[in-house]
Amino acid sequence: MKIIQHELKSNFKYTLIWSGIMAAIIAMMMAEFSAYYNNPQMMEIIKAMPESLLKAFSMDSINLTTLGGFLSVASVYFYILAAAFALILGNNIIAKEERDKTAEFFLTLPISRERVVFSKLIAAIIACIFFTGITTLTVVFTGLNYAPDASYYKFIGLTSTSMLLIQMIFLSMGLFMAAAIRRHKRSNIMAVILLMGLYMLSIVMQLTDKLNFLKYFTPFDYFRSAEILKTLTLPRCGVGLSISFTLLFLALTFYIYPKRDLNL
Amino acid sequence: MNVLIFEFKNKIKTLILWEIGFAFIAFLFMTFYPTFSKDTEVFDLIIKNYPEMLLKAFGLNREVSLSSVLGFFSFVFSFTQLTLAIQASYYGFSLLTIEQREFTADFLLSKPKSRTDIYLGKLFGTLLLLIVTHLFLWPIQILSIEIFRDGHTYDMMVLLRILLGSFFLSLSFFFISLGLSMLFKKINNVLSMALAISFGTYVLQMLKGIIGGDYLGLFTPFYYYETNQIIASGKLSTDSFLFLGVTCFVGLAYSLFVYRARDIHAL
Repeated sequence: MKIIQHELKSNFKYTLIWSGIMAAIIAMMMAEFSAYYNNPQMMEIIKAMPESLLKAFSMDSINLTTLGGFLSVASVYFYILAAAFALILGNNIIAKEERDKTAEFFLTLPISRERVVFSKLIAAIIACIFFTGITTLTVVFTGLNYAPDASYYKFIGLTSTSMLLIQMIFLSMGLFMAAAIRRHKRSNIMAVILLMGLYMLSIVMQLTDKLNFLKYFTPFDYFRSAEILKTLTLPRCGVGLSISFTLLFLALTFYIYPKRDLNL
Repeated sequence: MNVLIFEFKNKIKTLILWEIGFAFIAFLFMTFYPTFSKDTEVFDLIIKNYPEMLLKAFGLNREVSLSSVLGFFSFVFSFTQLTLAIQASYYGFSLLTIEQREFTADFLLSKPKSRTDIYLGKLFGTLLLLIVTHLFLWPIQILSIEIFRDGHTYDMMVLLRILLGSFFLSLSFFFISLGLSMLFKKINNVLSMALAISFGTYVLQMLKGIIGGDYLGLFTPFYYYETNQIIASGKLSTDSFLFLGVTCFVGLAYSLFVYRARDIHAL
C-alpha cells in the first residue's frame, strides 16, 4: 500500500500534464464542432457523394455532422496520445529506481521483487484510469451542448474502454522493456522507436493492401471507432488480442525482473 | 568552450540513431510513391470536382496533389517533422535539468565559471548539434526523392524552403522546451515531457488538417511550418519567421534569467 501511494505521488505531475494536454485538445476540437453540427449543407454534400469514394476515405459510416461521427475521426489520435502516456509511464516506473539511484535503498527492503513490480503495476493502472477518466469526462461535458442521445453515450463508453485496453498493452510493454533492458537510457530510446514504429506501421498499412496481415501487430487498428459507431459493440478480435498481449508482456516482466542484475 | 565540447561529444553518438531513423522514415514511405503517382491521377480528377469544405474535412488540399512529387513528400515529411520535434524538445528539456537528475551539479557548478558561461556553452553545444542533424538530414531527404521520383519533376527551391522550415521547427521546439523546463523544480522523466509536448501539438495539427477551424492551429508549431502551405505559396510565410523569432527570444531570455539565479541542490 505504501509503495502504491508513493508511486502515485511521484507520477502525479506527469499524469496531470498528460491529462491536461488531452483535455485541452478535446476542448479546442469540440469548440470547432459548432461549424459542423446539424449543418444541412454538409449533410447534402455527403449524401450526394458516390459510395465508392466514401469507402475510399473509410467515411461510409462516418457522418461529421453528428457528435459520434465527429469524434470517431479524431479517436485514433487520442489512442496514440494515450498509448504514449502509458508506454512512458510503464517504462519509467520500473527504470526510475536505477536512474535515480534509489534501487539500492528500495530493493534491499524486506519485500520481494514480485511484490514491488505488482505494486508499481497497480499504481500505473490507477494513473491510466485517471487519464482515461479525465478524457471521457471532458468529452462528455463539452458535448452536452449538442443534445447527445443514449447511443452516443454508449459509443463514448465503448471508446473509453478500448482506449483503456490499448493503454494496458502499452503499459505492459513499457514495464517489459524496462525490465528486460539493463540501461535505462537505452530502454527510453527503444520505447520511442517502438511507439513511432507502430504508429508508422499503421499508416503504411493504409497505403498498400499487401501488408494487411500485420494488422494484428498494430494496436491502434484493433478498435476502429467507425466500426464501433456502426455496431455499438467492441470488436471481439481486438479485445482478445489486447488482453492476450497484455498478459504476455506482464508474465515476461514478472519472470525477468526478479532475476535481473541491477545496474547500480 | 569546454562545456560546449562536452555537450556536443556527449550527444553525438546518439545522433547517429536519430539519423538512421530519419533515413528509415524517408525511404520507407517514398518507396510507395511510384505506385501512388499512377493510381491517384484519376483520383485527383474526382477531387477537383468536390467542394472545398468537404476536401478540408478529408484532410485534402486542392492545390497540393498527392500524386505530385512534393505533394507525396509533404505527407511523408510530416513524420520526419514529428521525429525532429521529439528530438529537439528532448534536448530542450534535458539540457539545463540534467545536473539535478544525474547528481553532477556539485561537480560542474563548483568550477570557476559563471552560470552564464555554463549556459552559453550548453546552449551553443546543442545548437551545433541541431545544425549537424540538419546537415545530414537534408541530403537524406533529397536522395530519397531523387531515387523514387520516377521521372516526375519538382521544384528544388520549394524543397529547400520546406527543409529550412523544418530547421526552424527544430529551433522553435528546442527553445519552447528550454523555457518550459525552467518552470519545474526538477524533471526526472525528460522523455515524458518531450513526448507530451511534441505528440500533443502534433495531434492538434493533425486534427486541424481533418476538421479545419480557425484557431486550432495557432497553438501548434507544426502549423507555422506546414509543408502544404509552403508548396502552395512557394515560400515560408511571414508568420513562420515571426513565430520563430518570438519562441527563440522568449525561450532564451526566460531560461537564461531563471537559470542564472536558480537554486540547484547538490544532492
